[in-house]
Amino acid sequence: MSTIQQTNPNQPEISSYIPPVGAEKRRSRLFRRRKAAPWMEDIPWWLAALKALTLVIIALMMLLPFWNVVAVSFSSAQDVMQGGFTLWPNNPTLESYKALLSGGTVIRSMRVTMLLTLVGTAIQVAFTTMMAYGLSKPGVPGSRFFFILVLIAFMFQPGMIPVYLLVRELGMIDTYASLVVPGLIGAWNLIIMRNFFQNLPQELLDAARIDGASDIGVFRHIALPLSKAVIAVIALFTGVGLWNTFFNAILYLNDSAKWPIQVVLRQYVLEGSTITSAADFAPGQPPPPAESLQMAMVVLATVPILLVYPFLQKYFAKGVLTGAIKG
Amino acid sequence: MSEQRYQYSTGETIPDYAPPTRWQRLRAAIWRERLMYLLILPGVIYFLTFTYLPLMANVIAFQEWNPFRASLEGPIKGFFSGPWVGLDQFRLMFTDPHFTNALINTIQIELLLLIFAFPAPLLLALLLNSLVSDKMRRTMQTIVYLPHFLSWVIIISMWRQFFGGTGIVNQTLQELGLGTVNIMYNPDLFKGLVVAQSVWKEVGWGSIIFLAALTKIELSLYEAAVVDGAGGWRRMLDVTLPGIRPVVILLLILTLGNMFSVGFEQFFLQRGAVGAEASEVLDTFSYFRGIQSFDYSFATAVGMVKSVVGLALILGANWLAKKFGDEGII
Amino acid sequence: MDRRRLIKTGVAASTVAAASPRITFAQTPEASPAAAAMATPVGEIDENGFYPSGDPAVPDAWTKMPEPFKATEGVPGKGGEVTALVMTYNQPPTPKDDNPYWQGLEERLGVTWNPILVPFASYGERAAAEIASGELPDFFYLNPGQTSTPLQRFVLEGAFLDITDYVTGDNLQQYPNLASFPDYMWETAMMNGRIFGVPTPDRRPGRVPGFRIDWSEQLIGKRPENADEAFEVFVAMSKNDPDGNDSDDTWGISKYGTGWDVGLFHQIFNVPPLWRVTDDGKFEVQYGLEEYRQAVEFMRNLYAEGAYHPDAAAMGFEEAQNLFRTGRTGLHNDGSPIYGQNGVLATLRQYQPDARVENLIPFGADGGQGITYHSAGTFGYTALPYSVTDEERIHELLSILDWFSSPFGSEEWLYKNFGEEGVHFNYNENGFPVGTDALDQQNAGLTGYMGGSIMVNWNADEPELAPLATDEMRAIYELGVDNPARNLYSPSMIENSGIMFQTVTDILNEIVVGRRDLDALDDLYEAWQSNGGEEAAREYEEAWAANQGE
Repeated sequence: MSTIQQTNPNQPEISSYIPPVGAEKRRSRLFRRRKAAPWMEDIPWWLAALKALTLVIIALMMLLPFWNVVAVSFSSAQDVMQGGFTLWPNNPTLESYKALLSGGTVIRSMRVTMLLTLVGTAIQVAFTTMMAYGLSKPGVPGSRFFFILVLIAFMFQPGMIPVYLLVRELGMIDTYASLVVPGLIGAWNLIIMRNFFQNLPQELLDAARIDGASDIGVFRHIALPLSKAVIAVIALFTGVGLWNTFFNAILYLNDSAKWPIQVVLRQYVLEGSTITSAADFAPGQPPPPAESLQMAMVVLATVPILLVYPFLQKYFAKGVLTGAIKG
Repeated sequence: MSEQRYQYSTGETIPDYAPPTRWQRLRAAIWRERLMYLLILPGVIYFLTFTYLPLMANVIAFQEWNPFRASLEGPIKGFFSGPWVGLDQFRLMFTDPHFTNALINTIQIELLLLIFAFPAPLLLALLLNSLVSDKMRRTMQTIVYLPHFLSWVIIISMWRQFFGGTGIVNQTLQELGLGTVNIMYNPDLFKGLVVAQSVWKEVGWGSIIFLAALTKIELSLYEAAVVDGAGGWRRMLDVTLPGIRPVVILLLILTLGNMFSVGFEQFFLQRGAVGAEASEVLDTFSYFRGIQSFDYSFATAVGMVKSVVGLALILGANWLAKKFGDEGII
Repeated sequence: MDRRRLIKTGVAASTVAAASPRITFAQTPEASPAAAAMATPVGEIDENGFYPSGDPAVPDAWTKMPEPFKATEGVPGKGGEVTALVMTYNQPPTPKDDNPYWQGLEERLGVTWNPILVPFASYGERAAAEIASGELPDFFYLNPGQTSTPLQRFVLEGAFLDITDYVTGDNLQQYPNLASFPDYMWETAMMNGRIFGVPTPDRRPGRVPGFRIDWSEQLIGKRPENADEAFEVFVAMSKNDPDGNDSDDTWGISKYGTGWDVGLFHQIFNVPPLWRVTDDGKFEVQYGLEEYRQAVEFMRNLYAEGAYHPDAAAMGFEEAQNLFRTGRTGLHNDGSPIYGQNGVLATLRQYQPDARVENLIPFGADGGQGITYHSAGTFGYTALPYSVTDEERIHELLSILDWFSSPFGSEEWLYKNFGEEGVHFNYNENGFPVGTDALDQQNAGLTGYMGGSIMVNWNADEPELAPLATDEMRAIYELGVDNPARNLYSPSMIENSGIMFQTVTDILNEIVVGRRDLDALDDLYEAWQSNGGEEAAREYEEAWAANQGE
């Protein structure tokens, strides 16, 4: 089974690309745009400008506050005193990060959380994908009934105490399993994934069946590769959810050595700047300002999971479809 | 009586052909799709165990349930232990003066969200998708989903830095001699503020799923459209939008189902700023009257009402979608 | 939120590194009664450095570290396991295998110590889940003022052991440290006359806000002594740029949570602490009183004139504290010590090197004397589960709590708070223990607020400040007023206090910021009454009458 590449409609398709000549060439260089697929005409300049402006505004609105967070996390007391909206601290310092990272607690907790996120995501995505595919296939008796089961589960969520007692009865208290299993399959994720599988072109799957592939074979070799985009999305949603585990950890874990990063960091922030961490600060030096500590905490709590998205992005850009139907 | 069929060419009689019965078809289908059940069953077991089993404890909504006295009876019997009060909790809820306020606020905010916060990720996805440069698109995608990761505590603090009493906006206005505006502490503006905050926080994250859907649209469809003479806008209307229609409808239906859960932290944190009347939603109502006092019966009753209405909305939306020719989700 | 600083400051009024800036009282102005009291200690310091306060409710002071002595006999535990639900404000401690402090603690206690640490913000929920499970840990921390009053209903229903018989009369002598607890501490762990846990000591004299005396002198020439002067100075702090940096970045008051009064404005108008009982036994809630009306009017006017920070309505604890500590507000109430490395001045001096802070003892609105609110005297208590019936086990658990409650200066106290010499602490030049990095990482919240020693004032860097702190506390105590409902039981309060206070807060906020006018106070009072306040008053009256009858 060969993989089939699809390219973005806005991207040039190499095989049918006709290089611009003459006036066309000058114009395209002027606009510094690679020519889109040859059947796409240039959009009017004012529309391009509007698009650019909108994008710039949106980017600034999203980026600036985050930039500020990072900038403040590197700020020292003098910077904070000056007030205003910090974009670049005049006296940058690593004090806040040192305060948070020394002592090993935060690092230990990060290791724990990363492991939890990686393994937990793999498990949860696997189960979700399997069930979504199973429910998406027409002609499976009872499939509609099971789906309604999931839909009702989506609407009706059990209370905290009953689930706590259940986890307790199953012996999962104080284990990492308690952070992964109760949320094993998110109904929201399942419904979305099922929808994607349903919208896969049926002809492809049938063609594979006719070629002699078994059900599982179709699943593994046709459906999964075609669904990289949605699996990547669900993996992202799941991963972020696990990385942000907070309340479940407080509820189910007894051993504070197992605390995930969000719980640990929130204890720092709410402590403010002094009290317990007095000794974590360089002796003889004043403690870093509370704002700086708080922002450093936000950075530590967020950046690791942020780095995941770019890796998953490639699955969004390249789907797998073109030409397979026409053949 | 079955007919004998006579095959003339060979002179043999072909044995009876009786169409398979319903049961036979069913058994055949089950056997044929047996591997699918392998995929489905673990999930079903999960839902039965971790959703339906604890869901039965919702009977406490019909009791005056006390966690400690229940614990004396053991984990299962305990949920049936409390004094039964029938629909009292529900009556208390509906007659509570704050309930109506919470309900109206919730509905108003949800409608605003549907109008502004639902299309926004879609529009953003379309915009991003139309970018030519791959690198730029990926950069924008990463930037645009940053606010999602910030907690509400941080976000509200940031917004106060900008729009608060001593925020940048007000400082600038003062320097220009234009007086001050009250954005963060204004009960009348609160609903709009909340929607703006939600859009800012979630537009990028919400666009992810639409972007994924957009990649599924076949290139050949675009080519065909061009051959037919369709320009940019026409291609959008005839190829792109229909291409992601299933996802849009699906998300719309699911969002409707979640209608009464507009959020908690966002409202809890700003309650002091704008007053209870403007900021009370069903989830904060349930918290203050139920969970804070460990009155789980009451909280469960509120939750059940939300769920039942939500389910009705989903079913209704699904029916409506089918009426418009869509497949719906059921 | 200010109470969490409690134990650390109580057990060690101010401690730690010698690197903190040297601050002497030469900078304290003379005029106020507190300052006059602070100039020289009133009593005598004996040769051991002990300075008695003269009143069991006011903490004594020590200017020298006493020789360690043993406060308990033998090892309390019998080798088994002890689990505990511990509320924590700290990051998690080093895991046991790498934690010599934890191991040492287990040796001294004679048990395996397995705490379940729960972040304080979510303590109520985890506690409820534990109660619902029916299997309670051996030690359960309860704090009606902090974790949530509604948890008290489970005490009433028998989730926790009634230990009255074990800690009264002759039996109490088995636990020498618990025996030294004054009655007002035990009262906070009582319900219906029965004791349900071992209290954790806290200071009894109330808390007063920290105040920028240097700004006050600059703006009005002195410390405010009546309501008008207070009004003037706080408004001036917002408008007249006391820090002289030509920028509009200072305000009078740092307010967080629900405390518009900042520990001052109720007190100067003689508003009672929530309840007041009349001579004929009637309970009146503060919200219906004329004094409250005056106080609210005062605060409302302050807000209108900009004396509060503009974001005050929504401000959280950290932000309010930070504003004060970075020199942008002039009044803040969180019970932090002023001196010492953890103190307010240490941070403040980085931003404004000439800053001076003092504790502002409430004066009367008319220039006379104000009042202070007594603190409960405890910071919660530790309860045992109802299911423990074995007498030996009960004795073992109570002995452990007794060990935790060893007094200042004892060996047990030294280990609990400072660990082992050389590893977790060292003695500084004044002879006081100073913790190391290792201590902070290893004992972080390990025993939480379970048991604790009776509060004593001592200062590792400047021992001579300790007696002055005692004198200040005595001055505060003498103005103190108690909440008569403090140890009375009202089912209505336990069940409805959440919604009662929330509604009151909602309306009060509206009044102070000016969205509604003063007449809304009638609505506020009505809301309180109808949500359960009326019932609560009646229940308290009955309980009060029953107490009087004894």
